[in-house]
Amino acid sequence: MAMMPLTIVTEGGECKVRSVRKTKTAPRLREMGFVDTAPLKVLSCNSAGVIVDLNGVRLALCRELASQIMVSC
Amino acid sequence: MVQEINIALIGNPNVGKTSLFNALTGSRQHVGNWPGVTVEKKTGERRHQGSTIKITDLPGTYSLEARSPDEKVANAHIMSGHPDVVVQVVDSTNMERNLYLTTQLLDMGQKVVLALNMSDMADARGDRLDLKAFSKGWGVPAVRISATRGEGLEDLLDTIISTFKDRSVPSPAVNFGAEIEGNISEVEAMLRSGGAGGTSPRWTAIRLLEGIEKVEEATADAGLRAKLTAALEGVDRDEVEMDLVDRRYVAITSLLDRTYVRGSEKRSLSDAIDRVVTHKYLGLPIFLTMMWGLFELTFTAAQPFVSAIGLGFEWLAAFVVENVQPDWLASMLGDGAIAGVGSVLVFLPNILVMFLLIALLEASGYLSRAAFIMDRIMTKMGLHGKSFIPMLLGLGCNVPAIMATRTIEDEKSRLITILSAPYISCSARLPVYVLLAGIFFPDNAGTALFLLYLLGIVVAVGSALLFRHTILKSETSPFIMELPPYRLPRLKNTILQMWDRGSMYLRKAGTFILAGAIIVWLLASLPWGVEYGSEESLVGAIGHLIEPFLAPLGFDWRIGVALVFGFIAKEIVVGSLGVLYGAVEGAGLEEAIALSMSAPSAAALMVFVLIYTPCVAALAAIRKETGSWKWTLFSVVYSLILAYIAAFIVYQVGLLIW
Amino acid sequence: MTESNNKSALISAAMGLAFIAMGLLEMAAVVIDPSVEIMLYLSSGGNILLALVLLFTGVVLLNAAMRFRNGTDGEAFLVVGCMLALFVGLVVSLTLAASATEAYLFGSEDFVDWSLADDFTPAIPMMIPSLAVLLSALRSFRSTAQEPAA
Repeated sequence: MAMMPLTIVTEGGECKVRSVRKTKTAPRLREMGFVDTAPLKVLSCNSAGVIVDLNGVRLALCRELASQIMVSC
Repeated sequence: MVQEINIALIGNPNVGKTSLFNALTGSRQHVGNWPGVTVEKKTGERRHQGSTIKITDLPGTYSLEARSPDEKVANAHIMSGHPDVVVQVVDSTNMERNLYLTTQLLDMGQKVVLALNMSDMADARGDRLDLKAFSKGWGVPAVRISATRGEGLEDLLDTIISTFKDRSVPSPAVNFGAEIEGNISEVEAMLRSGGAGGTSPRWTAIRLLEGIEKVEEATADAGLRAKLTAALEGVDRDEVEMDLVDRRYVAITSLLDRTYVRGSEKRSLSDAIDRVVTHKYLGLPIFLTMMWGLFELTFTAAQPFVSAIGLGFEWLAAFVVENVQPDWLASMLGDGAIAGVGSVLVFLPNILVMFLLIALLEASGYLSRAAFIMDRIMTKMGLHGKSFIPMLLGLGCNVPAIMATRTIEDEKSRLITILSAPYISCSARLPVYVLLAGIFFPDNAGTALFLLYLLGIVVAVGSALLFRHTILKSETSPFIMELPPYRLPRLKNTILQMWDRGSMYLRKAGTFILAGAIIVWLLASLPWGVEYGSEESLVGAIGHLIEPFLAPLGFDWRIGVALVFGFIAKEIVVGSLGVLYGAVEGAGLEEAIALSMSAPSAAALMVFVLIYTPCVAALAAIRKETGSWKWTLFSVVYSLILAYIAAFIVYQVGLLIW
Repeated sequence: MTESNNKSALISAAMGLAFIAMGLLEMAAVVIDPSVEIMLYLSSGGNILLALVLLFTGVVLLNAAMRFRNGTDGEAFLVVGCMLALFVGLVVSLTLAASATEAYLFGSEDFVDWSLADDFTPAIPMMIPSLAVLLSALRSFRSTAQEPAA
């Protein structure tokens, strides 16, 4: 299935996490639960950042971080 | 014989660990929404069934990889302190992520008891958990509790004791696959034979493989180091780290699939509010509205209490002067202690109201959203989204503001915030502004004040940007934050939070300012018989010493002395001026100042007070939070130089204008 | 359900306009001589920031009205708008109470000429309809606010 950065997903969209791009913060993201097949729902997406529902937890991410998370819907 | 059991309390931030700690030990602590509110290691005791359970409360962490200071503290305590049992507090409504920590604890070979907190909320949501199967799954006993309701605590204590007595050795929950497990075993064996790896060679092996711990840290033995380095060569750290995380979550999912069904998510109201509150255009004005409310209430609603306290102290001072003998004691108490401390306590209502409102915003969950909204702006200013709470608190008092920077995980961002925050004008400087603005800019006093605060913000932001691009070069760390559901703040906890921060201010008053006020009084009264606060006294001597340096700024010796005392605590500045002019605060002092200063020098003085070195209490906080004298000293020197230059410019320009 | 949407749109619009009006009045009070008696009751003496806050609350409510017409998320904006209205009203009320205490209880010198009308603004009584509308808007969310937690 096609992979895309989290920032492209429209509000309300549900998808699964696929991977996180290799950066300094990647380990932290993975630990928070952004692992392969984790279910994700996008609650809000604008220039400030993205708010997602990951495993029942609301997380707010700045845009830069969100663009490093690859998902498939 | 009384059995002693040592346990450590661990868990993700915001899971109610502190509530549990309070409930178990009966001590007064508060609950904050922000991770890192309880960074200090707190200890307490509880007696149960003839045993004494000693509890250490560890900082909230998501993992023990030890990337942030909180994690390092937690990890270090478990590795060196080796508690008998680790009680992990779990947010029952968020099992997946919470259990990540559990897998690590099991890798460390620790006996774990899971306290499934907020079980009432999980039930309300319709979650269903097969407790027995869950406990059996990893061999970790689990107890459902609700710390805030006090439910399940007896059960928990029983389980702690029975786990303590249980002789079986805990086993890791996760199998990392043949290859990695092989590597782990290999390294583990090396560590064991070399007597290294502390209480858990497996955990140390894992950390070495991930590259989090260096070979040099694991052992001092050169031979062992060589062996380890050879074994670790060719290991792709990133691959290992990714694999480890993935496998942990696979194990977690497998356990939960067998034993747990999540209820339907019902956060539609919370999410709806968030859509508006984080809206692209409306979000910031909403935040500004809340801030407007905060300031209105802080300055006006607290006013009656301020007046009440002011009256109280006036009466007290008069009483002392009349009834206390001998004269010198009356003077010391009346002119020194009471006047000095009174000038500070008079602000207590404002401070408490501000901290109360901030605590309310925090508890309701709004502040997390505000941090998210502010992040973009703050990043452009060289700060971090999470920096804005400390900056906000700085308006009350810099001491709790500096403490609050603990929530910022990125070391450099944290340091930058600590070094820039003091320029946000704290309440202690307000009396100086009010006094001078009232005398020299009576029609525009409000505007003058506003400009000063604005200047403070400009200097703070400017400094942050400067540091960010020069001495503390780094990219701002990306913002990620958990947004807890909105909720009605619990009154008791909110008041405790307010009091916790407010009491820092009080402690400052009780100690530094009291001491400072007495020192001022002393120096103004010696040598004996000299006129109080005149040029012949010791303060005069000090004043004349520094006068030449301050002349370009338009300050005379009295101002100089007041500024020196301001180093102890900014609140003392006005009081010192009163002492030095030999005038009582109020009309008398105002007259005296109006005669000896000019508008430009007044403006310069206000600017100088805004920027120059933080008071001793704040410096102590800086020293504590940065752990280094270097940065504390830097703060002093940088701010003095900056203040001097700024005041100089203001004065010289002022001379041209007026 | 366009019928109830239309009704909601109307209520939101009405409240929104009310707040815009209050905001404008407050702005006007900055320049108009406050001895014009009616102004005293309609504004709190020309507080620019208060004016902006009132205007903004109005904007949020009007936004809600628009969204009810479009069918997109009007409830959320109405709820937040009402909360803002309550918040503003509360702040102004507390300020009033504080001033009253200063004037009557302490007889402070700054408050010798103070009267109730000085700090009174229509934002205070507006809290009542705001609360009513808020409660009914909240009902449209099947689950109410979360239980107090840790």
